[in-house]
Amino acid sequence: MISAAPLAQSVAPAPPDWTLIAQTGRGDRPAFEALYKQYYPLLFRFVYRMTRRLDLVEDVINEVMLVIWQKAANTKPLARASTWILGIAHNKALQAIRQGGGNTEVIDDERDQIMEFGWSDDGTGLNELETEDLFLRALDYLSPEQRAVLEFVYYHGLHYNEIADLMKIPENTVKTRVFHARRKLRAVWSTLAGTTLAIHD
Amino acid sequence: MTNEPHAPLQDYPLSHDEAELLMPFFVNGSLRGAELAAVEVHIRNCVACRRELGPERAMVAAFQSSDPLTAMAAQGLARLTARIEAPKLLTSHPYAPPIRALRKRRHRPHWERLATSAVATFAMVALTAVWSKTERNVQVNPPDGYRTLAAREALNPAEQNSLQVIFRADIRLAEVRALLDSLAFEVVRGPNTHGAFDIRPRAGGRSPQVALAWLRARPEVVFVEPNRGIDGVPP
Repeated sequence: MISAAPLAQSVAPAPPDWTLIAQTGRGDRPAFEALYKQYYPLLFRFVYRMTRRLDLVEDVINEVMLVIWQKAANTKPLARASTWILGIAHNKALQAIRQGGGNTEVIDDERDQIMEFGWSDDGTGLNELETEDLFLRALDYLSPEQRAVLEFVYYHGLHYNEIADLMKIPENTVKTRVFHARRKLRAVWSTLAGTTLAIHD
Repeated sequence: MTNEPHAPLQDYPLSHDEAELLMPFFVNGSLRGAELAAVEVHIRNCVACRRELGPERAMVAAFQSSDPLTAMAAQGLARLTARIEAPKLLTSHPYAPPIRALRKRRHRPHWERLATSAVATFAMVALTAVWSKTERNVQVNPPDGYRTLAAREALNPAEQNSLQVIFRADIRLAEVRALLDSLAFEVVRGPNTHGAFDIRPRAGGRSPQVALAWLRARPEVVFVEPNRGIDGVPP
């Protein structure tokens, strides 16, 4: 007769992230593997969102996890573990884009004209657009840095001082970067959808 | 919106521009303390900022609900579906050749490939000659006795109103004669290295225009064109 595995074992809570990181710092491979598997979906999402390059994603994730493996022993748990890891991912994604010849220039001011985009990206016109996720298409019109900062705000729910810390930029720069990025995204998104976003009081 | 007492506004004065910059962080729930209270008070008193709440929440919802993996799966499926559907579209098109005919073309006999090659060579040479003469306006002086298939100069009177024709490679001489006899045409010269004959009407023969149209419709003829401009038919 096959006995069922102890229930307590299957529902045991996962160790907190900083605990896993501390164990990783002591060379604990199973802890590192758990951390890797736990953060892979989050890193996949962030790196792909920022780079829009599937071929870069796995390499960037492994670069991030290598840094964690190397620095885990000397890192103090001052912030959320996810914020620390996202900061590393942001830097590694930027490096990968630059090495691939991509443009990572950050445009935060009025020079980033929101309406100076057109339909000439692939010449396929509305038929293709109708079948695709317009929101994801609109994100393509933003720079990697703009996509990253919006992902930090609207998906990860980070405060501007956390974003400033992980992106190594002043807090006011974070606020203005978010302001211009979201304004551009909304304009492009609305235009792609052929309508303005619903406004509710 | 809460009606609880907030930190005194004079401790945290907030302009509209500042509130606008903080709006994303208000909506994502990361503001705390006096900063949160100041934004709440501002929103309560500012119609423009209240109107911003809707689009801001739509933005949060879009980021939360959009998943790159799901989007990639949808795009991959769309590409695969296009590949699956492509053969159907090809065969269902009213002018599309049947698949069997397409397959048959891949196994063309040797003579047909040679004939096609000859036509392609002819076309390339002809285009080159025309381009050289008309576009670049360069004087071409070919060696004596040299003449391309498309050469329009130096034709002798016997070549007037003649046609240049390439027959299917497996055609028998008797069939060529029968074709020419039905038009009352005769061979002037040929075949050249490309297998092309110059033919012209005998006395009482069909006009070159009629012969041209008729030969173009014949399955035994791979290629036929006027040797030089014939009446009403440009070369």
